[in-house]
Amino acid sequence: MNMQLAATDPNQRIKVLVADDNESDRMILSSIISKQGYEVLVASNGKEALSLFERERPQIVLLDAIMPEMDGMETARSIKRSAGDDFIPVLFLTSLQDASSLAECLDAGGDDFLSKPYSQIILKAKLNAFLRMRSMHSLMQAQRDEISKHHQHLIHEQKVAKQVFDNVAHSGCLNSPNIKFMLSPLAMFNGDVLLAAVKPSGGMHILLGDFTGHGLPAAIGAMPMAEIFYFMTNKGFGITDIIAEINMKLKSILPVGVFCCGCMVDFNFEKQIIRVWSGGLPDSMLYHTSSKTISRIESKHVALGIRSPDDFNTELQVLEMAKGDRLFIFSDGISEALNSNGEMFGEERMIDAMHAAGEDEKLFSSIQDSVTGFMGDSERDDDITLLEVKMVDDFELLNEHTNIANAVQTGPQDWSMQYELGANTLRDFNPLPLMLQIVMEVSGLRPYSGQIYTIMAELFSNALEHGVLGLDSDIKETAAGFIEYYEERTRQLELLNRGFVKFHFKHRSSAEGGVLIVRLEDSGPGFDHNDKLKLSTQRSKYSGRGLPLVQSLTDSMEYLGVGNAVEVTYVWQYD
Amino acid sequence: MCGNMIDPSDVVKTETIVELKEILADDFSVLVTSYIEDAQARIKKLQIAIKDADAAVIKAEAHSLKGSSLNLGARSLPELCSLLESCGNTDSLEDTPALFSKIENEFLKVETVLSQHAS
Repeated sequence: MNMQLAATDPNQRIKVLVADDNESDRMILSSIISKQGYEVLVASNGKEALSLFERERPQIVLLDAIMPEMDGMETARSIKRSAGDDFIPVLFLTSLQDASSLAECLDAGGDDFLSKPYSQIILKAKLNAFLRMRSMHSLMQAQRDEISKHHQHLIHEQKVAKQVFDNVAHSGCLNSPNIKFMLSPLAMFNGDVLLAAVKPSGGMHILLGDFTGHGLPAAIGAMPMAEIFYFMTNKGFGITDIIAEINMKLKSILPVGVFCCGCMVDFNFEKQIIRVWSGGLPDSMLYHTSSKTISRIESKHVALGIRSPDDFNTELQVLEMAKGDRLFIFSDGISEALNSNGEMFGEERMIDAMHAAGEDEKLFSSIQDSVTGFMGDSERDDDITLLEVKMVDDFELLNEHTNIANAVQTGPQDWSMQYELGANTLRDFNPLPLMLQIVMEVSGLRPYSGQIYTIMAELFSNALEHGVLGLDSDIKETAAGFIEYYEERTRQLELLNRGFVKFHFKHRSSAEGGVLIVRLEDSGPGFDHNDKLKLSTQRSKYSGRGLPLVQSLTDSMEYLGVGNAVEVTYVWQYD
Repeated sequence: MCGNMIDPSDVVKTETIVELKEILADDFSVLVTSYIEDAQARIKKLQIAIKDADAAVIKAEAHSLKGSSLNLGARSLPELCSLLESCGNTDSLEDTPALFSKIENEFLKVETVLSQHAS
């Protein structure tokens, strides 16, 4: 802004208001001021001065201190009020001599005096000085308004960003009854992310992420991470595919030095098993309700967004988790929370707080209270994110109304297809998301995606594990055996060099819905299926439960040939 | 009368007159006329206020006459007005008739000198 502008713009001549009840005084002042090139407005009392001020908005005001109607001091107060944020210098015209009267003029909001008899030189100098001050004030105000505008803009942008982020990040099931969490309300701008989603098969994925840094740079990576997490979980992808995809995405978009410590867990409520990938975060704590003990789940990997896809390690830790057990995952904001002496809260204090809780329901609040009590009034320089997930066996009941978005479906009605996977493909490719996606193209089938996924997943794992790999499901009868089974499966898959699994689909529509026929065939030797079905009904929860489940979900299930092929018929109706 | 024996610059400051003439140019005589009319009106009001012992009016009118007289360069008149203003301010009115006479006399001198400058 040009400070001279106000004084030199011919269209904006400076107006000076003069209020004095003496005509001769007014004449003298008016003449002096006009000679300086200013426009003069004249009033003979306070009331007139105020209304003239409000109408003409002069830039500077000269007021006689003692006037009829409304005296100078009261007029000054009214003018200052009316001027608001605008700086209107008020100079008192006075022949008052005593100090207290002069002080009273300044207290009323006057900025200076002009003593009688008037001196042309002094008046000129004072007008100049106050107009300079006014310009400076306007400049300052313009800058203040500018800053305030920028600030408003920034706040608005952050609000919009947060809204978008919340829409993406909170479409999941963080509000499930078996989840408790503590997350700063502005977590997005601290770089902490908490995601939870129900899998089509009925399990749950959770992810806690802690991006390096703060503010927008930290927030920006959270968006694709949440997108990938929800999209892939919804499509039926497994934890290793998702974590690898997130790593690849973050690696490609984040600048060097920005990465994300994270822990992702796959909850299997049916088998009471969790599979954990953790990198860069503090160790997670698993609280066992039966023994009241705590075991650590080590954070084994490098954080997300650092390793290239080839070097990225997706190895999972598989752990049993009994009903009522609780998993605690947290960012280093908790373990590194400082008290006023600069000491860290540390994991010891956290474990102490858990032992002190008394009952399981209070574990979370006990940790929460302990951390906040420890920090006291000391400044929080990191965000505190804590998540508790309880193992339950009725998760689906608890989450009947999870909102997985249903797009309007139009698509194929009568179709069939066959998809064969060879040994090289079976080794490290999960076909289920793709298969589910193809089936879900059928208009109206979307609400049944969970059941269909479960059916396909069970049939596929049977075909792969028992048919192609020849694993014996009897190992799975104990919890330890289940873990052994899982490790054996991984080992065998790596060695696989021959065999196949074939998917056959056939679908036809009717007015009420449709019929989907799924047949899986594998390269294995088959088995005596009549016997197996009878047996499986008496098996423990760790094995064999899959087939009766499939049977209960479908209208018919039939083994074909030597038992290396199975066909199910799924009749569905529009919702 | 002893008017001829007065030195005009003892009544009104010559340098003030010179400055005012420079500022107002042709309007100087208008200024003088307006001052004299205003002062005469205030002197009348003062006379009534003193008779009525109205301290507030005495104070206000004396103050105003002091201010305009100062601006016209009068030497003794503002001082006399200031004394009268103090009387009004402290509500001690016993000396006001005497002070008023002095003001009336001094004003006549100021009026005479200013009229001479204006003509």
